[in-house]
Amino acid sequence: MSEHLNLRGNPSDAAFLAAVRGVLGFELPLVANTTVSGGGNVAYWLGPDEWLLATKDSAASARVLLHALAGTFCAVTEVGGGNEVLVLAAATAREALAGECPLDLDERAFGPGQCAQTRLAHAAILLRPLESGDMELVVRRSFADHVRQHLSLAHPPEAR
Amino acid sequence: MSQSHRLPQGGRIDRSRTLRFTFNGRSHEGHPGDTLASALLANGVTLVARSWKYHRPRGIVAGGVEEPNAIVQLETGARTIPNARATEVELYDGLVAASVNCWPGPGLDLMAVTGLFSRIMPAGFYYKTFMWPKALWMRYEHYIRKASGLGRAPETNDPDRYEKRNAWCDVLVAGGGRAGLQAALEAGRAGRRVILADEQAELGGALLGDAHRVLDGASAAQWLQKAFAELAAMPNVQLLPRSTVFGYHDYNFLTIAQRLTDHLPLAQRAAVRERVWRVRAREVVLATGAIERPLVFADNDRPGVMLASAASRYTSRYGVRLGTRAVVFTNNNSAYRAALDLQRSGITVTVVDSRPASSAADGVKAAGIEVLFGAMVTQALGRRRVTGVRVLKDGAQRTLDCDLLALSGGWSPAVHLHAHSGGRPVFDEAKACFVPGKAAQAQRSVGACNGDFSRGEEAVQPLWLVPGPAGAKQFVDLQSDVTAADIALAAREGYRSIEHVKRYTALGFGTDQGKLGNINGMAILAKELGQSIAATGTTTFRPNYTPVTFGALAGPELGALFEPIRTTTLHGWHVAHGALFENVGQWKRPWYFPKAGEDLHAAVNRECLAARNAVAIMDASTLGKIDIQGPDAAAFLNLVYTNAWLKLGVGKCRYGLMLDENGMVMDDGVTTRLDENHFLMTTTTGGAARVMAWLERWLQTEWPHMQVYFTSVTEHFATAAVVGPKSRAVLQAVCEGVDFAQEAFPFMACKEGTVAGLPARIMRISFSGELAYEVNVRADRASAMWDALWAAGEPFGITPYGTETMHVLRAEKGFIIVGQDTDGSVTPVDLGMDWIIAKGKDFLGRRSLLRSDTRRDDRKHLVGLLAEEPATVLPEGAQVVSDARAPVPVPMLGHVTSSYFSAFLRRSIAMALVKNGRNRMGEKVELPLADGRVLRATISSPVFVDPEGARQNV
Amino acid sequence: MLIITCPWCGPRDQTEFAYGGEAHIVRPKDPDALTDAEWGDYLFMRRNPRGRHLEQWGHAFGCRRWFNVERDTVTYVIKGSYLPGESPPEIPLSPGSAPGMEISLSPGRGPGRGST
Repeated sequence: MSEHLNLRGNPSDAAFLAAVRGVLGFELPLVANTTVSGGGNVAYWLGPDEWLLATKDSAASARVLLHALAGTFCAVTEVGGGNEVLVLAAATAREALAGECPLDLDERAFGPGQCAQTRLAHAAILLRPLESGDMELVVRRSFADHVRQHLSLAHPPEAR
Repeated sequence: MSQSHRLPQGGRIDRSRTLRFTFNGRSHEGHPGDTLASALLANGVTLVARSWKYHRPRGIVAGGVEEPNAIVQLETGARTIPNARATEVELYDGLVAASVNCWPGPGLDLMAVTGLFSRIMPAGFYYKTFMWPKALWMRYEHYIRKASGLGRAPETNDPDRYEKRNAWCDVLVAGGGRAGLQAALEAGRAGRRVILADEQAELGGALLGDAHRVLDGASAAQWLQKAFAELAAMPNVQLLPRSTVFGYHDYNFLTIAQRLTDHLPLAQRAAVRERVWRVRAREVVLATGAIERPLVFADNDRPGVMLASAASRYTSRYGVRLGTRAVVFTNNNSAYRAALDLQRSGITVTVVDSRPASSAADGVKAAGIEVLFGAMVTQALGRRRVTGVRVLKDGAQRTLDCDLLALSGGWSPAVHLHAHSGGRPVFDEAKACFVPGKAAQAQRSVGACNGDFSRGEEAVQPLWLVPGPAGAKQFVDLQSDVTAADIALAAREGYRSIEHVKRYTALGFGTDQGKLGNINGMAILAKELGQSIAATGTTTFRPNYTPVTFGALAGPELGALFEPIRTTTLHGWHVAHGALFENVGQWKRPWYFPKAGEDLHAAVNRECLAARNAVAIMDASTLGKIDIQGPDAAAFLNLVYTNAWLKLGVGKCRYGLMLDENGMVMDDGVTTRLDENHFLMTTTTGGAARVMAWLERWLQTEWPHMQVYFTSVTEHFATAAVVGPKSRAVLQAVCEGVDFAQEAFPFMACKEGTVAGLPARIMRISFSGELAYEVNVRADRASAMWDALWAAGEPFGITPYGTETMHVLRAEKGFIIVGQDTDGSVTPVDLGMDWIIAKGKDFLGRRSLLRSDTRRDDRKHLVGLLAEEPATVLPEGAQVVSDARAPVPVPMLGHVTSSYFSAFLRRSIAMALVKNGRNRMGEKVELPLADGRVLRATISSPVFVDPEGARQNV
Repeated sequence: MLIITCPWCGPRDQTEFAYGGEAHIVRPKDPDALTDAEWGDYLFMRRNPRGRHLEQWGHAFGCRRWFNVERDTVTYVIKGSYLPGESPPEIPLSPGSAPGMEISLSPGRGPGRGST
């Protein structure tokens, strides 16, 4: 499904940040609802002390991180077994989401480098606009069907 | 003759195409661009309805959504629409419509007999009559209900599809008339994101019928064309025709109903029928126009009596010749336009103006139209069609012949959306109308809806009620049949507030929400009460502005989309093996796995015996799982669970009970200590999200100093429960790296190993009382684990089981299920679980267990019930009493919470909450059922099987 | 339909949040010292004011952080949000705007704060 890790730690703790930087190769995003990527990894800001890490091998990455973070108050938890990642095509993504997602999805308001946790109908989702214009959507696996069904209902707006 | 009243030319209709439609069984013709109302008028049909209460003949009064009379039942069968307004229905080929509230038709209405009793049927008459004898009220109500109402609701499912759309914009313009289009142009030119919505198919509002208007040097038609071209070229502007802004809520949140297929013939309707837009706007521009008021005088409801602006509209926009002789009765200048329009269509016109003089008359006089000033129409003559009017001028009565009476009593700005948004309309004495008051949100009102009139509406002298002959009805609200006398009656009976008068008389209660009658009604009430209109005020306008289809409000969330249907990664296997499913929260969990020919009972009996005698397997993946880490993890568990956690050994499991602060059982589950500062908590399936939120909230808001993190891993792991005397053998066959011997792997311990090559965590815990294990692996690879367990179990006859069997097995052991045996009002003491309440530490809910009410000795206790007839399964929910023959009300002792047939014991068992139950062991009780049977049972311990706990200790 | 400003994520639609009732209700440090009536007050009694109300909201479909909001229970105007542990700020309204209706359109870049 996905090689996701949930990372918890204190962003005011320089040692914590340094340890993570050493493993990922980039800084954790500290600005709310932004992402940083590099070397095949992506870090998503989920909360003031919470990040989602998309890696190539979550078990291996978890081991390395835990080793680097030994002694720090933090948590590294594998969560990929329960997440599904969809990529919505650029041409129709924002319209498809507009049916049941209350977020302002206009390109000027929500673009690459950002992410957002929000809802699509009854499902909690995480959205990330990609450089290509496509939209990445992360959702818990048992809600994925519900999300897919809603997305497939979308129609383009009536011609003016 | 077809279209007997169509003018030879003119109108915004496409005369090159002819549409056929049926009204009350008769065929007629019209053209694209017609509404059903305009087409009926063009075919000479003026009698279209019977009024709601008195069944008086009625005709078309208005041109748009404010229409009170022309209510029709559109189409039949699944697509039927009750209470459609003929003035709103766009004509399409093959349209079928019928009048409502009359039988067999408006022409001959046998229900009109009620009209004969009209003198004893004023407002509120049903509160005063039908009161005796009291016992017959329900019978009266049955017939009153049958006689009431207008259209008929459909009886089959709506076949259409509906959508929702969220949208954000800088400016939302409600109304596409001149003022709205102007606002959209300005905002669009400034590069802002604009949405403009108008309820009609064509934008332009009143300009569409105003062929002779000149704007900025061009004709109205040219002005519109230029505006449309410019707006269409702006990518930042979205135009929504056929879209009604029907609600304006907090924080500039507005709802718009966009109609997409109602104007098409039935056979062409394949796409989404309606879309509800949910819009957040930085700023709202209200350009909703104004609605003309009728005048109130005797018999002002006759067919052929309509608003002057409607007469003008039917003439110019739809090319209809409305009659031969018209009287225009007005108190303001705007009606003079209508007089000219009517005359141009070949009708002889006389204007009756209640004011002493007006310069606007000069233009019509020059055209040869007679104007009577200082005159009032006191009564309309005729019954099925107006034939003339009585006019009072200078104290003298005269009669004028006419077959059309056009009224203009002034104009009321459409302030509904302004009121929805929190604004309070204020009465403008000079313009004799309510205008928007101070805005409560970021909005402005423009054009006629702001009282900025431009066609003579402002030169008005109020005339709220024309005195008339005694006994004749002067209608204020046409749809609800409310007369001026009704309002006077309400005032006499002591009603002072306009809100009370509205509800007592039904003023404004119809599907038109009083758009034509409310203001007149308020003014009449003000006079009755001897106070100003401003002091009387308006009733509060609330969404929806016009009726909205239920389907549109539901959107696509029906059937399978109503709620998420959640399944585990093992679902495919369950389906393939014949499982039937039950809903547990949003999840579909296997309920039982019937073999060929088995019903629920046969399957469950077999599954239970397999679990107790051999080995059985169940998918337990849906239970909540929360990863808890941090130096304060154990201390936090101590706060949320009733029992003690600090000393739980690493690799050990413990059952935990969670209470709310009121001391009531909230959730439970087994929690495992994986390491010094690392725990894995499980919750019930249905409680997973609630418990996660509970933990976070207490941490964040009450104990932020505690160092602990919670991460949900409910979906990351899948869990297989392997249960029964042979479970160890099965696990030994598939698991590597774990010693399963009793001493090495005792009850309530956790080990890590490998199953089918996957890292696995195995807990030896038991909800059945049998030797049992739960195997956890990554959910997306769980099939390999399950298949391996299944294969290893085949030699032992491994049997899949579902939630029903799980329920039976745990009930045999007296284990509770939170939410089944508890309901939020049950404490651990009630459940006999004193042993789980730790002394010497505080925890959520502890103090509440010391309240006098939670310490009462007559609280309900969890007990077992053994039915007198061993084969009889007591119904869950059955009430427990001592003696069913005791006089009513029989004291209730409690109820049955869980009840099953136990194949292991070959008899039924049940758990129940019974007052002081623990002190009543052996007592006999009775359970009276709704069907009259009385069952009998004996109170027993709730642990029916293996009370010593030996079966799991092998 | 409120727009609630999460202190972290900025203004979001009300449907992303869970309501938590009156704010600043502190769990008694010594529950045994309270009478049943006083304990009942803590459990159940709330001010329910007409007007200024300090209340808790959780960004359930977002960052899952709980925070406090000052909201007028009559007009529904929200004056501002603040974190648990902080005291309600006096947030001045910008001149000319309709009260409390500043609608920002970006999910992350608005008045929300970062992790530091």
